Amino acid sequence: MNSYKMAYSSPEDMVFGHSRKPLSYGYGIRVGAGRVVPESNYAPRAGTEKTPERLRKEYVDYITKDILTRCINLGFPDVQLETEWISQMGFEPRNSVPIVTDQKEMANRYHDEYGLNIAVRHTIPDLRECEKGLRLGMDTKRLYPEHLIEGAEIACSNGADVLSLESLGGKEVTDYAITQGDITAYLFGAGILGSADMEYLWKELVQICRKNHTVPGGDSACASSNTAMFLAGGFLDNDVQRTFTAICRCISASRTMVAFECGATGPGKDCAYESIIVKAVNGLPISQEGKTCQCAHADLQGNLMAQCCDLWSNESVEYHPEFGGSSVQCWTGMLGYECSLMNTATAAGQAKVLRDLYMISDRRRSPEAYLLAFDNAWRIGKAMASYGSDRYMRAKEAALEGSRILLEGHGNKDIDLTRKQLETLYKMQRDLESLPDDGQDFTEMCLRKYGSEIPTFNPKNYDI
Amino acid sequence: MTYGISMDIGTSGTRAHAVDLSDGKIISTAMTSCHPLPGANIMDHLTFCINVGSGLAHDILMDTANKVIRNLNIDLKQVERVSICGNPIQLSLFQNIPVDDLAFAGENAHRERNIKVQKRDAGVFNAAAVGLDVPDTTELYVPPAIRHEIGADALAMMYKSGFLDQKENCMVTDYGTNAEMALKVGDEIYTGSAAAGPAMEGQSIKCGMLAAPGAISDLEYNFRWMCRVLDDRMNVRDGDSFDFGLEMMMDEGEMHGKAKGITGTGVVAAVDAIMESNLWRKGKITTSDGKLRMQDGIYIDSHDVSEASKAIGAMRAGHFALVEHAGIRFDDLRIMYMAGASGTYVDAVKAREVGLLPPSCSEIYQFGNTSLSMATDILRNPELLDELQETANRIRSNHIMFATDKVFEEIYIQELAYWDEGMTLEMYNENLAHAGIQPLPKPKGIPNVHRVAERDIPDYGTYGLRILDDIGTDLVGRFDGCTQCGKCVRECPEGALSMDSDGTFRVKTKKCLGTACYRCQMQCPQGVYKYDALRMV
Repeated sequence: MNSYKMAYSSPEDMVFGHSRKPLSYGYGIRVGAGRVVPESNYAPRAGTEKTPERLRKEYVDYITKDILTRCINLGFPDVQLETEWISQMGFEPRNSVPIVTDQKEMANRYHDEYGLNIAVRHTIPDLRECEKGLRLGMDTKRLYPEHLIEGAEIACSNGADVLSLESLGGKEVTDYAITQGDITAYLFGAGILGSADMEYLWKELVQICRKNHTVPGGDSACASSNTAMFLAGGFLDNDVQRTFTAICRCISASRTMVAFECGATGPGKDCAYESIIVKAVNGLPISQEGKTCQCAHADLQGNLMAQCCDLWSNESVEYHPEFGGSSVQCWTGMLGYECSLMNTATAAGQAKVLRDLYMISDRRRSPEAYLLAFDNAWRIGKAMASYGSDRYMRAKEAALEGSRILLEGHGNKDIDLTRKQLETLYKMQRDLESLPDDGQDFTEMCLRKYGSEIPTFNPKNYDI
Repeated sequence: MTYGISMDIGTSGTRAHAVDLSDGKIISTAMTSCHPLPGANIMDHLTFCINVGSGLAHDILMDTANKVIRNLNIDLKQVERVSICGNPIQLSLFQNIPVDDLAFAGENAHRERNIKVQKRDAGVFNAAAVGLDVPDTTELYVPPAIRHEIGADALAMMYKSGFLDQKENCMVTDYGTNAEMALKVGDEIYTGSAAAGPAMEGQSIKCGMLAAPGAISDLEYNFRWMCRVLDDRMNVRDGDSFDFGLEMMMDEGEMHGKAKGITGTGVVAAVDAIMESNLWRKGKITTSDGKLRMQDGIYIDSHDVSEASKAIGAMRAGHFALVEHAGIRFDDLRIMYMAGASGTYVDAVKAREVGLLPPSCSEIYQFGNTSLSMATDILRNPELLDELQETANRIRSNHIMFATDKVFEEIYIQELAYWDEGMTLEMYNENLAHAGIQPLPKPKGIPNVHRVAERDIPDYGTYGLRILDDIGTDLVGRFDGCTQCGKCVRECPEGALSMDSDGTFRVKTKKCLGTACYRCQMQCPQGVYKYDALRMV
């Protein structure tokens, strides 16, 4: 077994705006090269999806134009747009061509006229349903797997600077795992099934990107780990124990890394909170979201997530009017000013001070925030890297290392854990330690255990 | 054993095969690395002929031709046949036929100057009589021009590529310093010739060089741009990888430290990389120092891109003008044949992206040197000459003289503004619309590229290839009133001019930029230096 060499030999070397493997793309955008870039994400108003032309108008003439003009008005040097395709675009990918081309054209014009650095990330939708089949040729009626690939082709061949995806592989099992509090099922769903699906998709997506000179940005465990995080919620919620979601996040890092092993280069997706762990291992630039995505959701690490980001995102905001302009203008303004603060800190030699302030302000707010603090994330990454490309063992080891960090933190009074959170943590640790050390043995065990328990789970979706 | 020699007399060099006439096999190949006449393109050569006399130009060219055939490793006394191919100007210089009908375009210009249009039909001549060092009995086979301006090289590219047999609309271009191009629509053929300049050969580019070991010949995209460098055996190998937007080298390749320059195909790839990376804004490269830096100090700068864009713009305007004259839309043109060394080696997808091919072409065929290939066919089968004459007579050609064509002029003006002034494609098309010309579409999708030949000259023969650098000659002269101040020598940008201690000036013709420069003459403080008065020794 070959372990991976850590991109960062010390967590102290990690800081926002810098990555070991920076990128340039689009019209003058550079990520991980010293400057944090705001990434503005948006959703069209309900009803505008009724016709392709109306949707194009919403995305291009309203949203894109509003964002770009606001950036120029406020004097921001860079902006990345993220068009997360709505499901209607995924059903008929060809209808999206005018959106992709016209957004690109407008970006070109604003760059040319005003010198604003601009890139567009297209995140295509994964409409596949596990009951109908995840792989090409399986869903013969609705062709959702084919639509996914076609969507990638259309985005890339018409001007996407970055391609991303939030793939759903293994979700039927991770959903079960989260609702049942079963970490073994989560490890199977994300570590084995999700990883297998990621490999299947990203080998193809990277080829499409290479052919079209599009940057393959990567994927996110949004469908699994974020589901867990939001079910755990805030201090008034507790549907899922937050120690459980914290360990889920560790496992998901192994899954998210698969896209990069298939050739994706980053920047990682904003909603991939696990990206900080992955960045510690492979040094690729990442987008992150936190306090400036309150338009989309609340989480318990709003400041902390900015600690090592290369792009700073608002997750998504519906287009609508606010007092200060349209919603996309207001949220782009917040992103841009936050980036300006980070970049000023870098220019003033204070980046690590600001990084630490971001991190410390949220470090103890939840177990998940505690594990995502860059020093602990680096430790989880190191544990994962010691198993190299063995996706099962590295996911298991990441989970175990996460458990150890939480217990150590609790022992040191660095983080408070409730009795229930501790019980959940001990149980997970026992469960994980009892699992086999071989991925094949583990898979066979899980097939026996969950094969009939989860009716929507079909091993053929994962070629196992 | 009896031999034949086939020759391609190109604007940027001469290539030749020795052929065993008993079995038609190629024995050896020789070529020059440049043209012996001063200047870098066909217009320079023509101007040299007009100013100093075509007899001198012929003598210089034959001097080189004889050096080439002496390097073919055969007994020249046993040569029975020689066949040649090339554009009308080069073939006329070779045969010592007047070129003034080619230098002055149009019937009016000919009438005003009392110029007789030369007949350039197929024929068999005496090779020794034109100055080749071969036996008196050796025959010289010259293929026909289609019309006096559309030469045998154009016929070769049409004949060898399959263009003439293609039923669908198609285009063929011989990519070189002088780019011959033809568009076939039904039975009609529209031809033109763009003096694209030397950028396609890597010349007039600061780090430019002809294909040789150490030349960067391509940039390959794999989420970084990797230099592809020719090794000592002329194989293409991986060099260093760059992120040009970041201005950073990302990975070292096996050819690290071995790059010496960049070829014309490398320049096309670099221009494509600049465009793909959106690093061209308002006529400048937007990197911090205005240079696209590749490995080992090799770079191209904004001026180089501007030079390359003259070739690209001329070719795109030429193709565009043919399409307009044929009355078709770009969407009606799908098939493209590429000939010549650059047409063989250039990455066709990148070439289409930058504008060297019509953007609508989705089926691209890359051939080799069709001129040398056709000349060799004639050696093997002299009766082919009659067949070619019949073909030439049958071709219903419409030659568009770009120099006087309003459509070409309108488009080329847009090209200059697009490349050098930073005009947008949107404005480019708006301006064309005012002139009633269809818009230039953007390339779409990824075309199918068929590499019919792996090398421009697929077969070097048993004895292989010899490349001659020692060509050209000295032009010499003395000028009354010269003070021997040496300013002319210092001003020569190519280091082609020297002065002996007795005040005799020597110009190395192969280095000299010729009439495109004249800096030596213009800088003379006494006004006595006369370039045209120099003579061959």
